[in-house]
Amino acid sequence: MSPNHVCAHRRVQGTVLLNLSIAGWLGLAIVIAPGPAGAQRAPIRVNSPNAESATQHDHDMTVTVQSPEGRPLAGATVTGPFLRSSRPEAAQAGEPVTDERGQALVRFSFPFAQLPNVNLTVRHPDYATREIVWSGEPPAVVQGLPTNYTVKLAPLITVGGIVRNDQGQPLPDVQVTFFGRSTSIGYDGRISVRVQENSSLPLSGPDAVKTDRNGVWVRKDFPADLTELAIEVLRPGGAGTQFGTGRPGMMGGGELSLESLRQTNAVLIVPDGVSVRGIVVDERGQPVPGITMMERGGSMMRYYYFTNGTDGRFELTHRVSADLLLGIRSPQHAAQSVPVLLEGKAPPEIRIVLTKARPMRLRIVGDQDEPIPAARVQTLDYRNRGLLLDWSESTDADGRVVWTNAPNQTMVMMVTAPNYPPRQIRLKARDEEIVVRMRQAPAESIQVRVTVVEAGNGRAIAGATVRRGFRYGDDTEEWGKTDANGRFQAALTAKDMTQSYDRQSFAISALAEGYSLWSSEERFMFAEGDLELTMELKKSRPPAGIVLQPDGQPAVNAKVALNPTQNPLYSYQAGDFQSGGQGVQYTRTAQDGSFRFTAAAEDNPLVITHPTGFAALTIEELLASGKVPLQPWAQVEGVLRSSGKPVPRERVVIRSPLSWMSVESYRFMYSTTTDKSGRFAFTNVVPGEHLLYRMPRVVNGPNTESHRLAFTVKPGETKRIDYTFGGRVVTGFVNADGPVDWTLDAHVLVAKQGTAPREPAYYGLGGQAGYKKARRAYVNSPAVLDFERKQQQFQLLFDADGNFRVEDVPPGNYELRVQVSQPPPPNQARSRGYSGERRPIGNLYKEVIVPPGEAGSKVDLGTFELAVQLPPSERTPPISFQTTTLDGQRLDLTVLRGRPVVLAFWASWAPQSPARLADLRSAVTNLTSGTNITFVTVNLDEDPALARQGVAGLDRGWKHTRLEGTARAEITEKLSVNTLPLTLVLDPDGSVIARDISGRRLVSTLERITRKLAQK
Amino acid sequence: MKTTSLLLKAAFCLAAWVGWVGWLGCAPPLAAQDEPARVDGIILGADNQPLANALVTVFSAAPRDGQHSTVGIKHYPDCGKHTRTDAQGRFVLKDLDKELLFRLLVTAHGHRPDYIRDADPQFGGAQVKLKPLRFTNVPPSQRIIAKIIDPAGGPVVGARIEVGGTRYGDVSYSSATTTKVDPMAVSDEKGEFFLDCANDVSALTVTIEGPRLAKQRAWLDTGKAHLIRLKSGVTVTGRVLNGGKPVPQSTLTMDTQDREASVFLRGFEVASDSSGRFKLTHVPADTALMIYTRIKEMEETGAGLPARKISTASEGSTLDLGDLEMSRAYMLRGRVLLSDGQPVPARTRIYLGLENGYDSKNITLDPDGWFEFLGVPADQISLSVRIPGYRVSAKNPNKDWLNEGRLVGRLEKAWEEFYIHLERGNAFSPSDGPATDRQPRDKPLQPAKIEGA
Repeated sequence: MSPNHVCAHRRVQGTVLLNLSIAGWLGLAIVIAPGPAGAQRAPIRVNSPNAESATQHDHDMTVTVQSPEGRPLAGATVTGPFLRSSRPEAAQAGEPVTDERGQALVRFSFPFAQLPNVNLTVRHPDYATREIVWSGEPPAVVQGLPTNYTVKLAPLITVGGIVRNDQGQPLPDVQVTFFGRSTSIGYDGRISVRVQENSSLPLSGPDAVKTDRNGVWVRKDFPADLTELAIEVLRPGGAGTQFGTGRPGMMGGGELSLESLRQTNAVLIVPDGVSVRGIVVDERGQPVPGITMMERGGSMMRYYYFTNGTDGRFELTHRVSADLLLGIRSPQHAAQSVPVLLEGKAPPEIRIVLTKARPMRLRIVGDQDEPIPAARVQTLDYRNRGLLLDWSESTDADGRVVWTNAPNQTMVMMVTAPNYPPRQIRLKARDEEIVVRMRQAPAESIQVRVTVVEAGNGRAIAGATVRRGFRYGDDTEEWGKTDANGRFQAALTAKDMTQSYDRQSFAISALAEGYSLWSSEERFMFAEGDLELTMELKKSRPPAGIVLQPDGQPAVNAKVALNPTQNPLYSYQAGDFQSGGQGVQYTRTAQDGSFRFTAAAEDNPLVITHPTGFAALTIEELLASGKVPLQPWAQVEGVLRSSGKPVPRERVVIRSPLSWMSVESYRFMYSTTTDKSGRFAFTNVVPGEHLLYRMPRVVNGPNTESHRLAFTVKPGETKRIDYTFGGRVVTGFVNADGPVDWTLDAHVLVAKQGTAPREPAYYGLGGQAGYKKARRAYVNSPAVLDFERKQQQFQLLFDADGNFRVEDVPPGNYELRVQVSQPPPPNQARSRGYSGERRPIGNLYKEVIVPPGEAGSKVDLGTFELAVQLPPSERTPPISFQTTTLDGQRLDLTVLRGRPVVLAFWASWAPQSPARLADLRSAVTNLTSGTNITFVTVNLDEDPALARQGVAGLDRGWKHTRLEGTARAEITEKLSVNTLPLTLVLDPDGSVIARDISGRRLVSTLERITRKLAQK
Repeated sequence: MKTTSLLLKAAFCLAAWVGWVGWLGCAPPLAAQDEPARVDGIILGADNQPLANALVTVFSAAPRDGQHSTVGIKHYPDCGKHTRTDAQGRFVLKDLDKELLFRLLVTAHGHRPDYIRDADPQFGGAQVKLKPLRFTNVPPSQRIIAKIIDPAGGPVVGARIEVGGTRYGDVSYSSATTTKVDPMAVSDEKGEFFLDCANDVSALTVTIEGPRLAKQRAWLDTGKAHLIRLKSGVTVTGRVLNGGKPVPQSTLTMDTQDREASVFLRGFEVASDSSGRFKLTHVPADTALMIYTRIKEMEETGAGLPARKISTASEGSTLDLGDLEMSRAYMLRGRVLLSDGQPVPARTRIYLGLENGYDSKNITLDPDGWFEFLGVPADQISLSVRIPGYRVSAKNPNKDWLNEGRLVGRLEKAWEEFYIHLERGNAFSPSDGPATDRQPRDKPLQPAKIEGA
């Protein structure tokens, strides 16, 4: 489980944390405002251990807090789970506080060593709050914590803007809430322990920022180093709209510009949305007033609590999401949840009928059947789709607890008890008391009892096949068959669960001849214990049909794929489709073109391929006609050109559908390489709309779609494409202030165009089917398709120094997007590129203009500065070694500390050495600021005469040395000097801050260091 | 005029031929018993002319009596000794162990390196004709320059650099190298070498082997000058037993467990001594390796070590594996049957490979489809047979559904009649076959289930 996941399910005092898409994206915990008075909440432990006993693990750490300039900061508080101060005076205050040296001695007391992550938060009134996360495979995290840790806090700046509705009117008194971070948070189980830091925004509480009467807001405690941000604007009445950086159109509100925020002129347009009206009545139909209700979905970040009026009615205004979930909290009535579909228009009045409350009595006992007092029982949002519950209570001295108005449905609840790992359990209120046994160790097996019946009449279906699935996407395997009573029972063991993609969850489905396929919408959790399930199968004709060739003749031996999984089928080779996982059923047509499957659901897709053509349809469509005419394959041929010349040996790709967000049943992607004349061709192309793009072979990281071109091809057509934009050759230079491997990431020029059409903020609160429907409607809408067609970007090709170039870019407005990841450790750089975890260490977003000009003419965008931030754990330690000067003196590198040093390793046998030395000489000459930089050459030749000859003329301020004997092998290994010449730039502390740089990047790096020193 | 010129050329060649044959004829036919052993010979260029200044290095050695070597063949004290040819292309390597036969590595400017095999200090006249380099005059961007140093910082002379693959752009890799780069280079007295590559090559993966040093695998980018540091490595020792008794002259082989192109190393070999003990020196440190007996040896002895994983520790350490007990090798005799009853095509070959070791053997099926492998360990193995128009049918319980034409499984006993069933048809689609265990390496090897067979 990722740290994001852990956070997303956490509750803390007075807050609720939701696991919604924005939280996953930002990797943040999202805090919800307190509910009405009387809501019962209490903290629970969040980092769930496995089967570990309650052994205490203590760890002391000295945390040093510094200002951005490195000055010690007194008065900073250090907090975190499992943390207590070991300073007596601070312990009284409850939180460790840094002293005048900026230090706080803190003690972690871990109840378990099996923690995947450990967090610390450092707060200071004058600086941005900083969060530190150590993560890795347990127990390495707890065991690998450092004893000293230094953290630098970022300064605070002011941001602001104006909020308007979609009529352009300013909106006063709306609340503006922020979530953001400065660096990404990742978790990689393969690496023992990682430490990551990010600045965070204090979450808006009662003193949240609000707009004034002109719709204007400002916030003065904004961390200066935030690079990603989400904002929710919350109207009075609970309607929220979200905005985010970098992901246009994903959250209802649109894209957010950090630059405009910093200039305090960000414009946030909030749609007026629709109103939801309803009435609450009792079982006799009489309105019931004064019922407390809550809503999820109106705001992404909060539950909205409200009470209906004296006439039993309620109204929720300005709702913009596509679905909502309403919950009833009446002491006398059973808790109830009501999903509401909006889809852009006001729904009919909702009628909620209250039912009589039914208590759920629980008794929590331990391993030895001993009652557990003070155990906490609470509802879980994320495991109860379609339910909006908000209840928690603690057991009494006998381990008993009663939920007086429990809902009528089965639900999953969480139980936490002292000295036991937390337990999730599936429960339903019944007349007798339910005993929940806490366990030190997970269960070895659970019982799954299934009853398969016919929908509508409840008649048992004998001989139905029950299938179970462990992989993601409902891939299932046969488990057994139901008996004469439609029942099937089997044990699921912990060993079985090792097949599960997450080792925790499984899916179940059932099929029977003459019925639709039934699949569980949710994945069941092994830890939740025994499972009882009734599957209601709808009567249906068997999925069978006849496939016809385009000429009307039966298609013999056509491949028919029935896909009951959530994963699409893929085609990477001409004329064939495959599934990424298991669960897809395949068959071949007979001599008369006929085929047949046992059972399927109506919305299951079929994909059919034959040498003569292709078809994609749903089971529902198949059953309507019984015949499937194939569309003939199309062909695509073309020539790739740039500046009027053919581009040979370039990888070009076609794919469909246009949008990756699509929920189509198949995805199609063919790639090829242009020949020496720039020609390319694709056969067996599915008729329809496709995207053609270039994929230059320069990136070790994620692939990029460059020079995108949308086109449509008709059935049987041979499409000819002249693949060029008649654009210009764009060059530039990115001046990074740290080590960068440009090949690890895709850097692009992105054409500026309007934001994407607003995506319905659909959470699938009521179920998957509605979610799919809404998503398909959105993705296939003309506005979205048009947006996708116009999306354009051009991949930049970088050299090692940071110079970039890209051809065939049409004039226009673009955003330069450069993102750099931390280079891999030398021993993990493999032949096919680095495939391990990538962590961003810097990015650059800049608007640029490519002016009109002749096709093929050059335009230089100039120099761009890129700040590289290596995580603290990755900064290199100061380097030190001894070498010998060319006149025989020993030189210890440590004597040069206190000023920057340029180390140039070279040898006469390395042909580029003279040029690099000349480059260094030129750099010294071109330095405009002071020259307190020491230049040290390190020669690796056998013959000292060659060394002297090579550095002749490099006199003033230079130190010329050479390495010989074992030092030559040992020091070059220690410093990874694997190619020559090699330049290392050391900061005054002796740490490597740039590696293998030359030319203007070297000059600008040295300039920057000199400037920084001058400022100090 | 033209005829005259040709005649002159022919006369010159004849004179040169007579000259160096005469010189060889003058060499002592046998080294005198008490004189230090030496190997001498002559190096010729592609034009049959003697090559001056060619570098001749002792690359490896082996006992002259045909015994398996109990020392790594590239780690004898004589390995690395080197000399240069004189103006007449002649060379002499002195002070060699006369009980050994040598493999010499020869390189000269503008020529592809080549070997002189079984150079015998008790006989003279070693010779080789070098071919010209295939790739010359490439731009600096396509040349790889490197210098190899040892742990003492000194140059490594006579190291062999073998090209294993090429890279195009940054990500595409190919093991086909013949049209891209010459296959081998040898470091000179300064430890330096270069490799020239075709225009589209951006890097090479190479194996670098120097005398009494641990071999290394590396990617070398074109257009760059590389500094390569070879290490001494670690020592792996142990004792080979069969039925509790020491086994002398049993050859053990090691390869790295990771077979990814940029790290895979193979061919660490040594034989046990008279007490069954073995000592493999100059093995890479901090590396996981598989140690096993090769099929060929098991064929002869009927027993061997199935592959087992070992992990070496830090540089300079010794890993003692203790006593390693051999297990018996099995016979795998069987028949390839075609579903349509046709005989197998002539010269159809069947391959047997070790899944946990880098070793295989192939033989030709007899006209009735029969085959027989001896010396097969009780371990995970693969069998491959390909006949155009046929595929391995689903009747074979050990069919490898991920690779057409293959069976994989664990051999647990000898087989007299192991049937492999092939049926007519194209290769299966990746979506065909069972949902799980599509590559049943750990499943006991079972013959095809064929009625009446």
